[in-house]
Amino acid sequence: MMSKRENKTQISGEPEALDTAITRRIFKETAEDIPPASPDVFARIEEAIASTAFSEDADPMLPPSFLAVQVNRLRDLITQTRFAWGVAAAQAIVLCLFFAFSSSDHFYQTLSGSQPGVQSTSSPSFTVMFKNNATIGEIEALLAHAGATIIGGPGARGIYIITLAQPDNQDRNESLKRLKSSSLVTFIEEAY
Amino acid sequence: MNRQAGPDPLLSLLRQTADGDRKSFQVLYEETNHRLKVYLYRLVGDRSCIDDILIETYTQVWKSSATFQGRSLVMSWMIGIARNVAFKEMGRIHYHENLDDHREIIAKTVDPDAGDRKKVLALALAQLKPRHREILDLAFFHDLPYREIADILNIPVNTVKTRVFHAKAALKTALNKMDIDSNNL
Repeated sequence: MMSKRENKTQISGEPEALDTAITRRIFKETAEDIPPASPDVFARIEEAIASTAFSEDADPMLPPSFLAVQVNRLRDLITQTRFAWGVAAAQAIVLCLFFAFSSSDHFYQTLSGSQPGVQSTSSPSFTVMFKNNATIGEIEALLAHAGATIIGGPGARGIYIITLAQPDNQDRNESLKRLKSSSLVTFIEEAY
Repeated sequence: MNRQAGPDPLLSLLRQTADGDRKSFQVLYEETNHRLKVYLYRLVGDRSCIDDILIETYTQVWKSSATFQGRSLVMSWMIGIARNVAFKEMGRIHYHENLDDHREIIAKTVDPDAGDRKKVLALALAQLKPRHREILDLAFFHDLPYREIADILNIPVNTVKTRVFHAKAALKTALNKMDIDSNNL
């Protein structure tokens, strides 16, 4: 029968270790209540070894290698639900950032392609590029002289869409000639 | 330490097992399963998986019996295998990262005066850190030499000695907290 401690004085500082014989007795005694493995366990072991060949692998007593431990940890991590939700959240954030910071100016577009925001008009429209050093005043003066109106642009590469006011083909060709001959214009073609 | 001098009594059984002798393997199992189960009982928090760990351990023992090189006692070798299997199992089901973690203790109200001595002692052991409980089990239940314990735990012998000392002190503290006079056990 165990006796209660009569003197309850606290041990100060480093506690002294328990007597070895008492420690051994405690561990032996408490093991008595743990039953041996049931016969069913050995039956299951026999089942397991029936299909198992002898191994020439490394000693299984040796702890797993550092790499194996890391691989196991990684495997445990990626199988966690929290990790899956984290990945999904990260993907959502990346998509949101992509759409937030992308604009139509960043999209690839052919020179002859129609531009977003181009006003609809019955007159034929033209794609025009001006020299890099052309001023706005010079461009406006040239377009006014040719009877042209900007209906789109400029895009990222300085491309304008213009339309000519002249309903007559001959006048329109005259205006085109003026534009083509201008030193301010580097490129002009009908837009489709 | 109480290591008995002389040949390892389990060695011949393991050698015969390595030759494919099922009967010897069964005798080896009968001689050792309780000791392994006690070790696992004190190491693993979830008692429901102990049988599974035992089965995997003995399967490994069967498979690897021919690789045993006699550098340790057969019992130490088997405990080492059980330890690795248990850690793998505990990692798989996300118990705890390492033995330093405190384990959830099943709340029990045990009255030392009720005469339930073993329950009180078991409760005191449950208060220990798992690494302290493990090293005391190896040293004082399995009576393994420090060198063998060092090999199983993969730590230096001096660390084993230090840890045993601290574990014994922790056990004494646990008993004191339960108002148990450890000098009168």
